[in-house]
Amino acid sequence: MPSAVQTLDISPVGRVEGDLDVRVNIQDGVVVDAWTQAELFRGFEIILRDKDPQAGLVVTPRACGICGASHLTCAAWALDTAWQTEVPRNAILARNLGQLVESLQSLPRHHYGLFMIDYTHKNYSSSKYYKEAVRRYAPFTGANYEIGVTISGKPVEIYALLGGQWPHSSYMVPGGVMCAPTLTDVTRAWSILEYFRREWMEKIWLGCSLERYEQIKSYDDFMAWLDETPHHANSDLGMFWRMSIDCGMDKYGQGHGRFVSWGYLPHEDKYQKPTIEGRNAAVIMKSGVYDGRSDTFKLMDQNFTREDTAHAWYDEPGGLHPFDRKTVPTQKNAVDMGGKYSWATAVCHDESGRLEAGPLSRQLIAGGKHGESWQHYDPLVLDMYKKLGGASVMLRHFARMHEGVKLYRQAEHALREFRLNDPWYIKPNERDGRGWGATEAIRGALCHWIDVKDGKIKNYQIIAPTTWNVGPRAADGTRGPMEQALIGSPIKDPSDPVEVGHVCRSYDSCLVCTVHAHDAKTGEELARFRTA
Amino acid sequence: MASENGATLKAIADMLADGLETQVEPFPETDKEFAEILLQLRQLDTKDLKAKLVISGFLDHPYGPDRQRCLECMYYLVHRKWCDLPELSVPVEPDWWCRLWRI
Ligand code: SF4
Repeated sequence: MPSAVQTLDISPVGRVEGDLDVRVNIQDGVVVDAWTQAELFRGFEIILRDKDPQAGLVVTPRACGICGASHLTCAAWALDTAWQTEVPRNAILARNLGQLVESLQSLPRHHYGLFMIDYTHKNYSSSKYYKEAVRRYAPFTGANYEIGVTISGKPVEIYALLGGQWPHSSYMVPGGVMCAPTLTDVTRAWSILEYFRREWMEKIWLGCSLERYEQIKSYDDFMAWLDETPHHANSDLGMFWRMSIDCGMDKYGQGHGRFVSWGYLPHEDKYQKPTIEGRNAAVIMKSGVYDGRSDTFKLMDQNFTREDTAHAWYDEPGGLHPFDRKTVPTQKNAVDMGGKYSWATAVCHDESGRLEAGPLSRQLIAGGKHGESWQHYDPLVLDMYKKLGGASVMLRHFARMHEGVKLYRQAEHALREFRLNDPWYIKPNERDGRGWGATEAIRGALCHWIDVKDGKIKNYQIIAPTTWNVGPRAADGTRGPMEQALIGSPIKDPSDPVEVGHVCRSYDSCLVCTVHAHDAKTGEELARFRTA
Repeated sequence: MASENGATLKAIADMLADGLETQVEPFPETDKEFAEILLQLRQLDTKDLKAKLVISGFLDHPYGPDRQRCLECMYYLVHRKWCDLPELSVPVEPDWWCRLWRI
């Protein structure tokens, strides 16, 4: 006789940003089905309708409290492409720098403030690493928790040097940036960056120099590095890896195995006359779609984006490109897991279907040989993906943290390349037209579409990384990436399913979540809790 | 690491107790003067403790009529007893002071 299926609702899954409800069905202690439900209607698309074209610069950074620079980047490049501006080299570097330091900020903040806290959960009390995990990562009192959370505020001090404040600055504008850093600002930024490297990246996170870490190019290199000295093994990275393996975080959280990145960081000499079509060949970190089943890469093009609304609360046809959407919210949004159950649409690639966005996607795509020869290439995470048998909670989080050194180097590049006496802004001519701006927020692919008509916004559409990842089922029944990644998660205690939290937090969604536990057979609720 | 910080803290305390003369004045009243002191600090070897203390005007007691001290400074991290100004980044006691003090 088949064993009973238990249903677990997680609402909101805490320590991710926003509001996300997760329901899971459990059978024999394993998740066999899952639904992710974005509970809040965001409505920025409606707020921006008929507004001044530049309204997006002020409004959209408020879409997120933690990645406003990424929204601002998209809003600015969207208008640049619509208005056919010229963006000076310095401005491209200053925009990149703003986004880079925001992403650097996010690494220790997410690692210590959101992710590693779970490693102090009683589930892992039998692990040989547990005591040390509690000493380092216990919320508020853990030795490294405090260091990590306080150091995370440093990189965005560089953002404040450029934009006057962080978050929610609007210093990126069509035609450039509204700042002109002085030499003092630049040297100050260097000090802050080096402090971040010295006091956290090298001392706490890696236990070695950035240069030594950069020599790691394969899974075997990484394992050799781990064993090389106690400094590496006992660093927070070494500890994360060893405890993750010990507790089985490498065994679940797989997902669809198909990944997307818009690419990011336009090259300062290659995107001064930005166009939608020219972007792929102008970004330092290349775009792409990686299919893990066939091990194939291709470039990502915004033309392929579709939004399926079969299970989302919108009264409009499914399968539309964002330029063709009207954003008509359903007025009576009753939850129906067999019908509509989320404010997120199911974002798809017209040919490749549902795709996962995020740092793991970026790092897998960095291992592809597609794109331009000068673009960034890094085979490490792709090699790990293949040797470890695909995605997992552990690899997804590792990919995110692995990116830190590269972000750091790119921030150095921006500071080194500024030419302080050259222009930072070229006044554009306003015009009607369609624009598109994209980037990679730390948690994944982000882009804005804008249609300007009669000097006003006719249509503004945003697809955030979380829309890709927490979207509901598509019309054909395909699960959303996070729904799929939850399948197979082992649940030790259905009244306290921390494993569901691991999967959700490995995506670092822009939504806060709640868990609900039900016995699917009887419908009885077993547990409901916030994981923060 | 805690013991390393403890040793540095003691080394600083000893230098100050031994009467190390530091540049307490002039206090940087504007951003420009503040930036000039930071520039001098940046040119040092990050491990050159003594020069750091001298340039930033360290004292092992509160300073001035307002009795300014690390404890109320924006760079002070309470739990770690740490100065988080990147150019200094040293352990400090809450009752100490330097002329880079900021609220
Ligand atoms: S800047 Fe000076 S006053 Fe402020 S914490 Fe550091 S040492 Fe103390």
